[in-house]
Amino acid sequence: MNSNTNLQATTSSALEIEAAHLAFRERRQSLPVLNQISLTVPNGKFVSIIGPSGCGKSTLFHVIGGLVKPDSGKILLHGKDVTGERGHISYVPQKPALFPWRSTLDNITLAREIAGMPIKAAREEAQAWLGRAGLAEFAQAYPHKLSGGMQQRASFLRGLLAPQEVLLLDEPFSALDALTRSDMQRWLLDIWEENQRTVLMITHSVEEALMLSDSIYLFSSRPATVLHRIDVPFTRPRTEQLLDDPRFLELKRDITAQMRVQMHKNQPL
Amino acid sequence: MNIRRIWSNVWPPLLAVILFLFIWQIATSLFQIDKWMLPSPTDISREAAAEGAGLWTHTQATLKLMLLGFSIGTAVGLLVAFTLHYIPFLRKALYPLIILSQNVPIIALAPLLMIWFGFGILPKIIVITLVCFFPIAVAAMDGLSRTDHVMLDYMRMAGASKWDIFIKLEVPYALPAIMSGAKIAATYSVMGAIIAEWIGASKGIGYYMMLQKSSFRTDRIFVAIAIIVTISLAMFLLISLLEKWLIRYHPSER
Ligand SMILES: Nc1ncnc2c1ncn2[C@@H]1O[C@H](COP(=O)(O)OP(=O)(O)O)[C@@H](O)[C@H]1O
Ligand SMILES: [Mg+2]
Repeated sequence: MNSNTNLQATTSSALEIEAAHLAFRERRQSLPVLNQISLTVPNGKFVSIIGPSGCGKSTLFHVIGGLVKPDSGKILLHGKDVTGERGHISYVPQKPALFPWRSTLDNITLAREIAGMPIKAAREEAQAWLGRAGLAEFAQAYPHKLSGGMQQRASFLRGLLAPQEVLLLDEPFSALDALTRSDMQRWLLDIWEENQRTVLMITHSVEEALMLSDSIYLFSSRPATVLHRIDVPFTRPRTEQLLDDPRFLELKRDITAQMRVQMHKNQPL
Repeated sequence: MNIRRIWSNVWPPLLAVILFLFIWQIATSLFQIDKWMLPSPTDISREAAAEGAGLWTHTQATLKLMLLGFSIGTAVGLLVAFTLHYIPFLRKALYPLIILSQNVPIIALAPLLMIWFGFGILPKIIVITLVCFFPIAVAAMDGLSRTDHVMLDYMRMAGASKWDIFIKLEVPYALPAIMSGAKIAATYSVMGAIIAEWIGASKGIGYYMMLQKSSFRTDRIFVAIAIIVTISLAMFLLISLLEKWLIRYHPSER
């Protein structure tokens, strides 16, 4: 990648990954997972990553979040090097992973609690958000009382209420059934278009990525490399009608075809 | 849980016990078994009533010893678990030894403890601590090491400190395991107290048993056994209630 373009992008980008390289070493084996990954998430934009499963997407999130140090490369937040540091991003994991012994409300305020922010204000704000997520009457309920979709919404609110600017969503809808999933996409789209937080999302669904994102990075199979960056041309606010737009369908077909090539590289039919 | 559900769990074993006592009663009179060999349930309850006040002082002494030992044993168990959990090298070095230590019968250690620490309360507390700490420590270490890694990743990425992770995630996550350990430790602590009293004491149910043994009062030994069983059950029940109260959420993920 050209280093000049990277330098210019620094000012307006919230999150930047510069040539992240990582191999897991176990015994004498080395498993390369990330191969010179570079990507940019501009301030207030929604960026998605699509790639075959097992290619290293979640691992990239772990690197961004400081859980794993890359062998080389850098993570920049607003131009500041935060490689290997924790506490700079807000993370919404693949499973809701709500704490079963905390009420839904107390789950949602967790990130602020950890950041040492005033708990009373956090609770008030959380209560308001629960209302917007249709969870108002579940504020005091333990998470097991919530359906899968509700839990995922609560998990998303936990991420949204976190003080960190950049949100990392790791396949946030993958555990949901198709109907709930499209519901949740709609909900997320509305919330996001109002708030314009900086988001980096991993997904399996091309449609989901096209619907929600400003740009999409296509990853190869393991070790993950960036194959393409696709800028999604559709204006906001977006509606379901987009799903029938010929340009949308063409992009979807195009990306799906590329993904299929990647998947078959791993497991020939 | 409602009353009917509890009752449906309680009546079958209760019926079995009543049936067992009934057969016992019939058998002793039918085969004319000597009272010093095997007294009948009615003999035993008659003796219990007669011994009343004296038994209560002994029971109190045992209860006090047991509760103190159980508390200290639990505290030591948790401390050992937390320490070993946070210092992996210590865990590697000491965990096998802790497991191995359970092969030393406590009854064999007790006389040594008496020699070293005299006949006061200290050696007795040590005996109970030794039997109690193990189930607690093993259960707690197990619970801590099973902490959900997605939740752990979440906490770490959010920048939580070690202390926050410990107190907000690991301990609550391990609590159900710790409580199961505590239930086992609770029944062990009764046994530990009795053994400690056998070795050297001037009061308590264990002491009372030794006294009755030397005069072949089988009926009174059975009374003591009945008291021990009652204490064990009460302890178990107490810890179960505590568990219910502490773990009010549905433990569905385990
Ligand atoms: N801590 C680890 N140690 C060794 N290998 C790992 C570790 N974490 C993930 N992997 C491996 O790295 C690869 C990428 O995993 P992951 O990032 O979870 O994929 P995905 O793109 O589906 O999210 C997988 O083959 C996985 O087995
Ligand atoms: Mg993944």
